[in-house]
Amino acid sequence: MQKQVLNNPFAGITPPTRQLQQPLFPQQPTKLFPQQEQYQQPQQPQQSEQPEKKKKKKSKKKYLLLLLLLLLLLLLIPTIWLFKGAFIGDVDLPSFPGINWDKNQDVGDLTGKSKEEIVAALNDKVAEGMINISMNTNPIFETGTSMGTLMITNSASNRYPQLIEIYTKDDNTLVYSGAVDIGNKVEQSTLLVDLPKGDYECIAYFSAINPETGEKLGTAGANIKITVLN
Amino acid sequence: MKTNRTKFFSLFLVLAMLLSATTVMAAEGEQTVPVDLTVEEPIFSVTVPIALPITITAQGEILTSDTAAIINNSAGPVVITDIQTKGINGWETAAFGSIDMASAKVNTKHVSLQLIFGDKDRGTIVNTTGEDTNDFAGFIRLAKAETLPLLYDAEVPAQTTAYESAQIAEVIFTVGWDE
Repeated sequence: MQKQVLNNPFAGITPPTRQLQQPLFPQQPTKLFPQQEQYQQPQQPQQSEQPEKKKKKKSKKKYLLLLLLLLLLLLLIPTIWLFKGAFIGDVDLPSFPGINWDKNQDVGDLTGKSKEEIVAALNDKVAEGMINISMNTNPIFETGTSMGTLMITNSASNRYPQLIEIYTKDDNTLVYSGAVDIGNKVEQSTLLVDLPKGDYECIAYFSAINPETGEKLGTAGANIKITVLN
Repeated sequence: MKTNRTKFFSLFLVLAMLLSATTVMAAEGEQTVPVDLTVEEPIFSVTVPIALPITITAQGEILTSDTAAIINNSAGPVVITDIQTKGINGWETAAFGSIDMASAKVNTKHVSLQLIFGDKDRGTIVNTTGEDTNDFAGFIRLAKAETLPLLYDAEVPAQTTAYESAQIAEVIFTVGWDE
């Protein structure tokens, strides 16, 4: 198909070279005017080098800006940290050379808890330390080596396991020792000592024990009488 | 007249019959009704405090709990027959009232205790008397289902080291049936 050059009103007008050197789309040069083709082709390599250089320059500038920002931040952080000590709470404390305000300070004095708060805490401790002791106060053993009706209960309301130790009153002999966990019972058990026939006045000591260390936390006693029938 | 005789005779007969019947019953022997008693092992169950915490405030004031108590959950009345008070972990008990809190040497490991059972003004008071002894004598009775309040006070010289729940004394209550 033949182009109609004669009817073009802009025929013979050369477009400014600036536009040719810097086309909007270098890969696709404008083809509005057929004359352009003669000038465009030899100039194409120059046009692709220049934007690359500019791109490089721009990226360099970006890197510089980032570096500057980083430097600024590095300078700002310690400065803020240094000056932070001068602002504690809402109070603007003056800064002195060689003196650092303790950043752990707070407004108030060390009067601590009120009386009521302390007593409430003590009451909680007492409640935690209440111990219920329960057993048969007259356990009967058929013989000194047989099972007897101790009927020890470590109530489920208790907070600690209990160590029960029974001592005779007259010569302080340990005749029974056993620990019972919370909520458990010992209906019958044997004595440590083969007691001869008779009645023995004893004290059963119930000690709350720390379940992790076995340490005695407190003790209460019960008067009991052990009876050995034969 | 005839009717009166008849009435009298009838009454005599009735009385005679009643008397004769009573005599017959008595002749058969005395009736005894046995009263059986079965006693299961009674529940002996008492709740006591094993911790009597004390706090010395930063100002040197001594504070104690006001809710300690001894509770009798047993099937009958019980009595507190013995109270042991002894210093532990390097502490010694002193006579209550003997430690002058204002002038006692700081860090002296002495403690004195006063236990008040029941009413603050009319209850039984037990004081430590020094060397792990106290002036408790006799017994303190608790009826079935009774809760006996236990107030306590202490004297402890000022301490320069802060403690948290350090055990300095031991109080052991021994309880038995009220026989």
